[in-house]
Amino acid sequence: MELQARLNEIFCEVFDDDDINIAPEMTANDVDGWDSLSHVNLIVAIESKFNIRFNQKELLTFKNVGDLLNCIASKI
Amino acid sequence: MKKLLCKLLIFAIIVFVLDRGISALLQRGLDRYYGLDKQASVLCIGHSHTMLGIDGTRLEQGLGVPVAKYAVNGANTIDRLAMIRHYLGSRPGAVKLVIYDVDDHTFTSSGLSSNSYRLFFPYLDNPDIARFLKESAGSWDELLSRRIVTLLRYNSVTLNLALRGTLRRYDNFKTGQVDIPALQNEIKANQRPPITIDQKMIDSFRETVSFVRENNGQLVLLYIPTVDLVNNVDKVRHEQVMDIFKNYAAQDKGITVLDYNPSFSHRYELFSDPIHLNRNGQHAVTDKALIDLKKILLTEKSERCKVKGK
Amino acid sequence: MAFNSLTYFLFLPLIWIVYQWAPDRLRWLLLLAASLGFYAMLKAPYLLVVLCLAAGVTFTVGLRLGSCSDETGRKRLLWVGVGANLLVLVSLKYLPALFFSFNPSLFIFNGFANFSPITFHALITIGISYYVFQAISYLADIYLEIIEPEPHFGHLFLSLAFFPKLLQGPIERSGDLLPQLKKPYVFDYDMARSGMLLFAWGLFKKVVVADRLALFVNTVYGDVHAYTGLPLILATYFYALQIYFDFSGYTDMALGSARLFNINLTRNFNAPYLATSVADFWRRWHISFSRWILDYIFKPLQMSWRGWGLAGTAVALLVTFLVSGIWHGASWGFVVWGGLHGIYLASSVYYKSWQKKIHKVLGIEKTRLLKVWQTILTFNLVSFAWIFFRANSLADALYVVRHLVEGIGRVRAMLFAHGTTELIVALLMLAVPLLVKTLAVTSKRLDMPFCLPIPLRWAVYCLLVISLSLFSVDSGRAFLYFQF
Repeated sequence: MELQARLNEIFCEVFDDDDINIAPEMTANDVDGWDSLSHVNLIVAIESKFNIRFNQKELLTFKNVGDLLNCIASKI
Repeated sequence: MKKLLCKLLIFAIIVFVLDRGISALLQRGLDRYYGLDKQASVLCIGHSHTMLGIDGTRLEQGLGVPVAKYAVNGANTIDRLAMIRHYLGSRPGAVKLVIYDVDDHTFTSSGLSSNSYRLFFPYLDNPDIARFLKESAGSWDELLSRRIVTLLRYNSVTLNLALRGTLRRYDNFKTGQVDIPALQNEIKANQRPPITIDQKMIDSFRETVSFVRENNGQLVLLYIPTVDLVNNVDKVRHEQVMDIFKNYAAQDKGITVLDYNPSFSHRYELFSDPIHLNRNGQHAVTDKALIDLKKILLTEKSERCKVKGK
Repeated sequence: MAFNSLTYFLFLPLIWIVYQWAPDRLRWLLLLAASLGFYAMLKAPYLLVVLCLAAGVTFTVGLRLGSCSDETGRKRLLWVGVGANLLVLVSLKYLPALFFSFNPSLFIFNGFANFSPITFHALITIGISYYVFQAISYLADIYLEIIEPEPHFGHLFLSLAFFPKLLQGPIERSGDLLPQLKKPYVFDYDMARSGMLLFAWGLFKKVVVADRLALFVNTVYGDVHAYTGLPLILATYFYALQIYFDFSGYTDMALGSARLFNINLTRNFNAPYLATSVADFWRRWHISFSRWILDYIFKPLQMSWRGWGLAGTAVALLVTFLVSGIWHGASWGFVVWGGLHGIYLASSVYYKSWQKKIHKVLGIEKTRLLKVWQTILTFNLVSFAWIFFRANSLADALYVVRHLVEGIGRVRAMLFAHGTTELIVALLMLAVPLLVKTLAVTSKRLDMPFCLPIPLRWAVYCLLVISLSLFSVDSGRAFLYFQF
């Protein structure tokens, strides 16, 4: 749960919206303003906050927030 | 699936009926425009120069005999042979006089009119035209598709003419005048199409002359005027082409050359563009033609009477 | 064979009829044979060899990739497969151009006048760009573990060679197409009916609207130095419309043909000229292609360069669209066209946030006025780029750009070059798809025209067929996007 909360914080920061409440099934379509530009910003923010690095393959196969969470969990 | 096939069949039948029906209406209009709906004694053959330069109705009124104006945009010498065969072939003995418009480019096979055969698709059912189209057509399916779907035979040009024929609007609508300064610039920049003499065209023309004469028709080679500036671009070739026509006339009493350039080519107010007459020009040229043609017809009549009298 | 030829009008129903009565397990074979026969009609036997090679390599590499678990091994296999496909594409499309000292007029038809490439003695490369890209996406998707490799060679081969999409796309994703090819076929009345109508409508857009606009465009672009000012502007706008109707017409014919076999191919267009930004335009134009370059070129590049912030994204966009330009052909005109779009998109990366702030301050955010303005602006930006796409050479394109704003010029000569009737018919026929689209949007019904009462519906069908017969332009048969 703590991981999801931390990730939620990052989302709120990147999208400048304190009302975001992420759930594992959410996709880019569910968050207002989540496009290719903000996606990169999101990834960069996650990598720096958690001090991890995603590889090319992982980045191209994230389908929803759940995938993101699992991937982060496997790296920390 | 049976439902679909049945519906397709019914649809095909409806389309077939509509296709043939509309085609028939268009054909009637086109026939009327070209004078193919009457037994003309005088047949004007040519391209846009004739279309815009001669008033067929006026000619008919003045000469007192049925006149047909079978002129198609861009029709070159080869096209016209097919047209003459078409007209004379479908009503043997009717035509007494053929007025064939000539100009500097009569023997030039130009690129623009190389697709002019397409304008004859509406007459695909006529054997003379069909033969001509088979020789000119690009691919096997071009003719086949037009035999199946008759509306494919029409394009914007023939559609326009068919509508005009239906509405009996044969007049020359152009009232503007040629832009002389622009023409002078064009000539300076060498942008006028060159005159060439191509053997294919020479042969075609010869065949045309023989065919008309064989069918006991008089032939008038009428040079519908073009702006003198254009005529003077290549005087050498111009004379060469005129000599060819004069030779024909010299060797056969039944052939006359009428060159209207001396009378009109300097009168710029009669032209809508460098090579086409406007409404006033058509009027003027037709009036002069009436006078000349009456003389020719009278001479021909008296010759025949002489022969009969013998 | 082109979709708008008598041969295809005989070929398609014939194949369809045989398909109905063929045993289900052999249906894929029938379609494959038909597709290969279709490709063979281009009378360039090396094309079939290339297709078989690409399919063979892709199939083998795909299987190996699926069974390999070692990451480096997988990466290597992927690059072998992608490399082989690219080698085929490059050597056939670009080396000849380089060999003949980059003289594009010899091999790649920049002019897109309506002439049949078959009569030209150049190297024909129709279709290769499309199925090579599809093959690459197949391998990449296996690598990313989005799909499993296809064990049946025939099915994979068919997914690449399927004749409705073989010559000009859409570029399908194997994940979408393969399952459909494997489904047992049951005659579907609605699919068949809508397929036929879609085909007829596409044909109308191509031979009545696009080809007619081409007459005016070719008059100007075929001899640019004879024109200045307004004719150049009009010809460019006409070209923007021409290429849309030509390509979307082809796509409709492809989708319609495929529907007869119960296959749904991807939509390629979504009212592209209603886009409110160039980015939006690329979400609506040649959708299968732009999704491809987005997923397989842009996204990986953008991610690799994420350390560079906005610059990373901007450069990624520039590179992606330069590649897009080159994909269309080996000539400077295409490269400039691609580069222009790259610049449009890259610069928007920087000014987008400022733009949003300004709109907020002015209070025009989300207003109709703004939307209309953005649509008009986008259309003009895109049309400007089309100049480089259409012009016969880079020199011609630069001439057009320099002389765009120079008064009225010989606009009458241009408009009436083919006679008054042609102009009137052109404007009327152009109005038809606009009218149809408006009706479709305002009626809010998705099943138009099938929801109309039968007499009205059949009147529409008759009108369509009669218009096709009476108003089709007869000037060669090639589609524009054939050249890629």
